[in-house]
Amino acid sequence: MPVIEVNGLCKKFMLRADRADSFSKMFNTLFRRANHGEDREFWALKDVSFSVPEGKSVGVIGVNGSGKSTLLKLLTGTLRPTKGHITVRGKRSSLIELGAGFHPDFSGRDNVYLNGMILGMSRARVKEKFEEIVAFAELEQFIDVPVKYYSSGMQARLGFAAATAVEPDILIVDEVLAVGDSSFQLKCLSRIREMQGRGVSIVLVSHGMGDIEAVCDEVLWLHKGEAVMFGNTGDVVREYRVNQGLPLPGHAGA
Amino acid sequence: MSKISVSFVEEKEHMRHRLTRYCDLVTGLALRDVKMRYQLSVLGLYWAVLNPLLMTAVWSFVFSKIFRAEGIKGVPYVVFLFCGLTFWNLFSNSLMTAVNCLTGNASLLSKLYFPRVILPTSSVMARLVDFAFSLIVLAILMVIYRVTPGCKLYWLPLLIVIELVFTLGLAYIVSAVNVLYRDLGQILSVLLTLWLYISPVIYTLEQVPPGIKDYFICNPVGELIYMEVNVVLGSGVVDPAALGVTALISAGVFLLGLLVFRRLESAFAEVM
Ligand SMILES: Nc1ncnc2c1ncn2[C@@H]1O[C@H](COP(=O)(O)OP(=O)(O)OP(=O)(O)O)[C@@H](O)[C@H]1O
Ligand SMILES: [Mg+2]
Repeated sequence: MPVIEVNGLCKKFMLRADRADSFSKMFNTLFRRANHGEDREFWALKDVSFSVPEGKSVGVIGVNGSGKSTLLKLLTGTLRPTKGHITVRGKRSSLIELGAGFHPDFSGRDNVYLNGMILGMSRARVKEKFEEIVAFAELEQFIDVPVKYYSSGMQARLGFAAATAVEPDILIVDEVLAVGDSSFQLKCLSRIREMQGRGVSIVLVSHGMGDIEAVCDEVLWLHKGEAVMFGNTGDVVREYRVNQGLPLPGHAGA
Repeated sequence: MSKISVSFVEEKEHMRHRLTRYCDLVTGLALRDVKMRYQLSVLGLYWAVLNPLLMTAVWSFVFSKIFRAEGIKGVPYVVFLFCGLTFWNLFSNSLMTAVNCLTGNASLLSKLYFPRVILPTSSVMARLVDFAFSLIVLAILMVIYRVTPGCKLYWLPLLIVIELVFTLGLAYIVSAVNVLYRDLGQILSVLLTLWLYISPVIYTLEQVPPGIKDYFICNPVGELIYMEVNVVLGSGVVDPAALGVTALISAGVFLLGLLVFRRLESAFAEVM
């Protein structure tokens, strides 16, 4: 059975210039002729379908604003679809954007505990895993420093270490590997490999085609909310590179 | 087949395990809230202790010296007022912080999924720490003014639990509505000020004229504060009928709160 099935998925956002988002605005519009900027609908995802077989990993690529993060948020449950069907089988863990859910004023330690509990671990479980998380992130010296003093790479390290410690069946990662240095990227890749070896599915959003090729079996290419292509990583990435005017490997410098 | 379906199929987690996890999370978030108030802001102790003390000092002067208000017979008005404010603040401060608990955690809400009711719940639980500090000050005041606690003090925990249930229900509603209408906080603070005056905090129920008094049962917080103050300072007779009605209303408000919250929940991530 596929771990992820997405069928005819649509997501609409309302882009309202003048949303009555407070009682005072609402009160005003009662007395004045409502002068809304037009209510503009925006379809961030249009009829997207794909599925991920058990143990396989999928990449999502596309230009900025094409709907990748929106798709991942629908998969984690933070957003609800406007139309369509989503089935996800297995325990999820996610790392959406940098410093996912970290509170800048609190120490790395506090944040790891809270993040771990939100992602599905009990307090006792986080405690067991804590040493390992910190060691993986190589942040022993900074763990009691507020996260606002962390560099982007440090935040990514801690976020990734915490998200993977949950031991999920499905790991959802949105553009966080890119900020790590190359040694950490290698470390992440090897952990991802190890998880894949245990049958974990990865859903990875990245602008780095290298990462996508290294991790994913299949790739979904989104453009303006629509699925342009879904299939074998090699094929989709090649098409995408051509479309984006990126050099093809092997043709570099030609 | 319906237009929308979302299903997250997970291995069945043991109910007890899930509950521990959620309790851990509520506690974790509540402690973070407390830490933020006490460690990261100097105002922590101000809100918990100093503010009610200052209010008590000024009000007890105005109400007992000028308006000649009386509290419970044989109990100094200062102690009576501080006691009432302690229980009132548990309710009022909970709502005033809960109203911003979703809007204040926008990044958490848009990036991680967890049952959203956990946020207002932990926000209310965090106020228990302020409440505990206030109770300590109350005990000290009672020693200073030589007030012996009532002999039915064992009712207090139950009364506090009912107050919390009622408060949670309203906290769910105000936090969810505030996501859609961001100025609810201002309106709420006005409403709470009015609410304080129709609750027996600066006066006792006995002083209310009989015709009006019958309506006071509609105000569960007022009823609870009346019973709590009486249990702590006075004879402590708890009217089982009044308690039953109050408990029922509280449970109803709690369920209504959960319902409203669930209805509005799906819109949260979008407008954050
Ligand atoms: N809460 C929201 N309200 C309104 N519009 C939104 C909301 N979230 C996303 N959008 C819009 O949906 C579109 C897709 O956004 P999304 O974040 O999914 O893009 P993305 O593919 O992740 O881009 P990037 O590569 O820059 O991360 C964008 O045009 C964005 O403006
Ligand atoms: Mg994105």
